Amino acid sequence: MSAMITLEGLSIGYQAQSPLATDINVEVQYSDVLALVGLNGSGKSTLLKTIMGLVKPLSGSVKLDVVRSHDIAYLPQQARIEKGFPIDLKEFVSTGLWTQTGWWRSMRNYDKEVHEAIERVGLSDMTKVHLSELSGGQMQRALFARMLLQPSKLLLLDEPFNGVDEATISVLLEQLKYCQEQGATIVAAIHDLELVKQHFDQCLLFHPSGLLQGNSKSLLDASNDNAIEQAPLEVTTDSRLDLLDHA
Amino acid sequence: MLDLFPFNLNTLLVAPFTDYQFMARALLGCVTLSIGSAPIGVFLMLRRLSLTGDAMAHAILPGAAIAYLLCGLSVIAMTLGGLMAGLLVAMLSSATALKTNSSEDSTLAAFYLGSLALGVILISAKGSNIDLLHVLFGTALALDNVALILLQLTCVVSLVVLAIIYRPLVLGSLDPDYLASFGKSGNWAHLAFMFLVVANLVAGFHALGTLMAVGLMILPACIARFWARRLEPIILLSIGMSALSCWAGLLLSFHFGLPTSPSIVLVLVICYLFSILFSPLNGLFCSVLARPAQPSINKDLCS
Repeated sequence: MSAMITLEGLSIGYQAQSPLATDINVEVQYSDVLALVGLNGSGKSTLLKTIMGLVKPLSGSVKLDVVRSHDIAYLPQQARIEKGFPIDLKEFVSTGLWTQTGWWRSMRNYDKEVHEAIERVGLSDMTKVHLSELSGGQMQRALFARMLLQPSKLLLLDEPFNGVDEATISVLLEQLKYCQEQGATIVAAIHDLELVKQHFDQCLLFHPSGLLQGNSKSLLDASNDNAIEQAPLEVTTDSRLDLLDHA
Repeated sequence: MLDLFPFNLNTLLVAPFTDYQFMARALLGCVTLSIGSAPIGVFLMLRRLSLTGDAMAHAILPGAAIAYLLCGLSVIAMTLGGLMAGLLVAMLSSATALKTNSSEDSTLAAFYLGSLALGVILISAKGSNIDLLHVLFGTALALDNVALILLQLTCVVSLVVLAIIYRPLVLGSLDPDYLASFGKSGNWAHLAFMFLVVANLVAGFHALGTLMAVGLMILPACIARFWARRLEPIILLSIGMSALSCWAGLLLSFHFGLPTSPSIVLVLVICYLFSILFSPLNGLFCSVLARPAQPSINKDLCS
């Protein structure tokens, strides 16, 4: 059985002379939850964009077992959302119905689903609130609600918990778990190592010495909780197993 | 009975349009233009492209000028010339931005300024200053049948195309990256939208001239933004404001002998200034009234 994502000999970056990461050989299986961990500028976001097709690979290949424009929900780090746009929360979340409704089909038939998605992220009493009046955390919840409406098989999330409060993080984590239970595969760039250890089984560590894929706890513990701060990294042979398997 | 009001309201506000056919035609033309171009202005504003509209209005000048010099005051020739020049500048600036990694506002500025300069040189080389004024400020009071039909056609096409591309246009203005994640269909919507901008400006320059046509497009949207919070009311309000300003501007022009299109745009600017001050949403006076009173300093503590 093929994997959800297969990256072979992949080099990522914006200029061929200075790639951010090279020779990436990774497989992400169906319903896996994978965290991308590494220093700022190490290439986590660029890898997500490359998988999404927004950045072309410098070399190598990205194979997906889904249709990009239909089955992937991508949550960028700093969404270029025009918050002053004259629209309320419910209408904003409804834009997640794009795959189902396209340019013309009515959104009315999906009213129940929209309300359910909003309820899941705990914003039920704010459906009529204008977009510009949402706080950072509420906006992130709204983005998650919109994502829940998409019938996606693969979620690509770039720092989804950045700058949001603890309560929001736990609501959003709960929703990610729900998505996984529904069969979605999740790849998320996350800088909070504790969060990764607690909630993500697997991680892909962007390190100057190369990319390491393995169990989050053993990989991150092996590096004294400061994996992404210190170099060279000491990792156990076990932690390297996955990486070697795919290399 | 003593006449308390020295003017007859009917004479002042309605009669000019019933008594003079050229006024009725001007009103019909301008209102038709309002219905098509005000919604386009709303999306230009929401996409932060207000000044792009202005640049495009300048860019259509050489096309109209060449057509004018070749065919005289032919509505159809000037429309086609203007359309071609506008679309050419739009495409050249987008392609240059894409290929050279420059920002689109800089490439648009370069091409529209070049286009404008070329247009002015063409007109002044062969025509007179009166010709130039004609193209720059339009002839609202001399709209012929062909011009009126063109305005109506543009209005219908605009409304139909807007209805078709409404949803991708909204999502593209709200969250362009998200729309892009669903494929390239959003690009077609943007392309169709830019075509509508150029088409409306070209249609508008017969009535208001190249420089003022953009006023009827952008200003109603800016005003409506001060009075409504949802998209549909903003669009409807902008159409209403636009039509009303055409009526008021034409009356000003009629009664005081002022040039027509600047009168219409000035009425819109006055409405805009009024909105800045008195809008219940974010007008200056309302925000002063809504500001909480400063807590009074306890005199005991100060002493």
